[in-house]
Amino acid sequence: MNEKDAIDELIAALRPDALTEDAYRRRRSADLARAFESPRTPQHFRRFSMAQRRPLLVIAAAAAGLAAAAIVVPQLVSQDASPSGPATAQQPGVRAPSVDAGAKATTTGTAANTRTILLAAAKVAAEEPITSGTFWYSRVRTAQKVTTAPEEYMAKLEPLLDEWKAKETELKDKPAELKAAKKEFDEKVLQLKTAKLPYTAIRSETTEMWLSRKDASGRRVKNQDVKVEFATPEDEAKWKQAGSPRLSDDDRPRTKEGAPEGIMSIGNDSLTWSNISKLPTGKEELKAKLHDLYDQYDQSDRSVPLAIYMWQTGTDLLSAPITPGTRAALYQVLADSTSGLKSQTGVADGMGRTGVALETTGPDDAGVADGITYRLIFDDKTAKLLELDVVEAGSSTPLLRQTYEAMGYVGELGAKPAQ
Amino acid sequence: MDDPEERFTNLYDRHYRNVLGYALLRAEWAMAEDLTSETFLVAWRRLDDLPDPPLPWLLGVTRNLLRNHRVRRLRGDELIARLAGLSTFVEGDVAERVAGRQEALAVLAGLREQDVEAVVLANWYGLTPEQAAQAAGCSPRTYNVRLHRARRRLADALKPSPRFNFQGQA
Repeated sequence: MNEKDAIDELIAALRPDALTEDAYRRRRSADLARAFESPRTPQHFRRFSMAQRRPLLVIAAAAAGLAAAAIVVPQLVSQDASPSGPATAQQPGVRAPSVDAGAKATTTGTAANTRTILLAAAKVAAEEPITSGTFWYSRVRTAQKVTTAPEEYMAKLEPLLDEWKAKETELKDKPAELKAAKKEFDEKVLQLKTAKLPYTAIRSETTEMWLSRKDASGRRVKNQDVKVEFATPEDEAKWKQAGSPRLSDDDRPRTKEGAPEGIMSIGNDSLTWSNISKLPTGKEELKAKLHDLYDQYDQSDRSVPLAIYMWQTGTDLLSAPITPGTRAALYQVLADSTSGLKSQTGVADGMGRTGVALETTGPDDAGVADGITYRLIFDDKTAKLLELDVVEAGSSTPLLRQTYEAMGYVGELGAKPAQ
Repeated sequence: MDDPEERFTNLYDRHYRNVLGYALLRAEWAMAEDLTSETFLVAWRRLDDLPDPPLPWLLGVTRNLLRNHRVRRLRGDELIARLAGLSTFVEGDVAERVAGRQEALAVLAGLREQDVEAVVLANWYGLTPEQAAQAAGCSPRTYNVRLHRARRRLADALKPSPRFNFQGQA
């Protein structure tokens, strides 16, 4: 062994691999969740409670991602004044996300009938034949409240950026003052970013996914059929008063080949697209498994109530290729009063399909108890997931609505299930 | 553009261990883990802004966080004691094959922490001098001086013949 090799081997042997590996396994889930719940802003970040991370991270990422990207490369923001965005507001056939699911409910579930309804759904699921196919397919329409008008935002951001660049040059030898100036700049950007629009608009897009059950192939096509709509005609009038700014600057579909990477169920990183079809099919076994997962999950944030955990994990599982047995067991677990979920029957989803809503509430950003309602709607005739909604108290427009338009197995990549 | 969450997850999966290993050169165990989490939180916020390769940048963020948290630099002997305790460096394994291990460790312990860092950045992470200099927050020239100094002293220590002389000096 020559000298150089000997040194290299010595130093390499000092690398604490076993311990970093251990830490990696212990910390991964919480670190990812913590990152995903923070907006991708340059300096400041709001902390969302873990309970809200799932719906709000989508919104936060959309809003803050825009801002972060804008700060880096403002000139890359498209100046294309395509009218395709908001002009579709009146388009027939696409109604503004209907928002009064709660109000439409014909029956409010009592504990007893919630249980009955869920046990009936479990029975339906259990009687379903075990189907399979080469690819799992899903088509999801996602509607989110618009938080920023990109061009307005850029128009306000650019002077701030210029001002900051001048300050940076001016104060480059005065670190303390530079730091204070940076802080001031960040605060202004944050204010700009969190400023509320004077109207309520909703941006929708469709994502299709194919996931191979056999190998690592798959495809995801996001951002299809982008539309911006207004909650009411008054909102549209206010938008016109504001100069009809474009409300979506990202209208092109994007295709990604390959199996979807990343997390199947945030916070449950031991669940993967490939192992969920092996989840228990007995009620007690599945319940034990979910409580196990909850215990692991809880370590990263002790404030997540079981009901919200059940809602989140339940929606993740109901939107994934689990077996009919697991689906039946899941409804049985949710039927237990210990799941903390309440039900309402006769609730309409974004496509006008009716089903049963299962819901719970949690605190909002400001920590107001029950400020957010989490609702999942399933079809009690087929036990299939129809939609999930996240609604702020006092608001008739959901922050987030994901409508499962189609789900099931197909024979090949690109194929769609028969309706 | 890829999904930000996927990109971030990949970044985390690829580099977590590297960043933590680097933080452990300076910080106590719990602190090192927290600073590593903090580093990735910064990376998430700057996701659209990450250089390629991202590792030197990540290590640079960790170094800044260490400084902000006023984690003092360890003396060489503390560092080596810690590394020897953390690593998988066990008797009869790799150690057996490395001539003059004790001597080399003694030399490492006598080096300045920045010189140890220089060797480690090149060896553990395969960084080029430019990348390592970025991570270490110094000029490539300074980095090369540190690296060369550390290697020369280690090479001296690993020479078989004057081992007893060396022990006499130590």
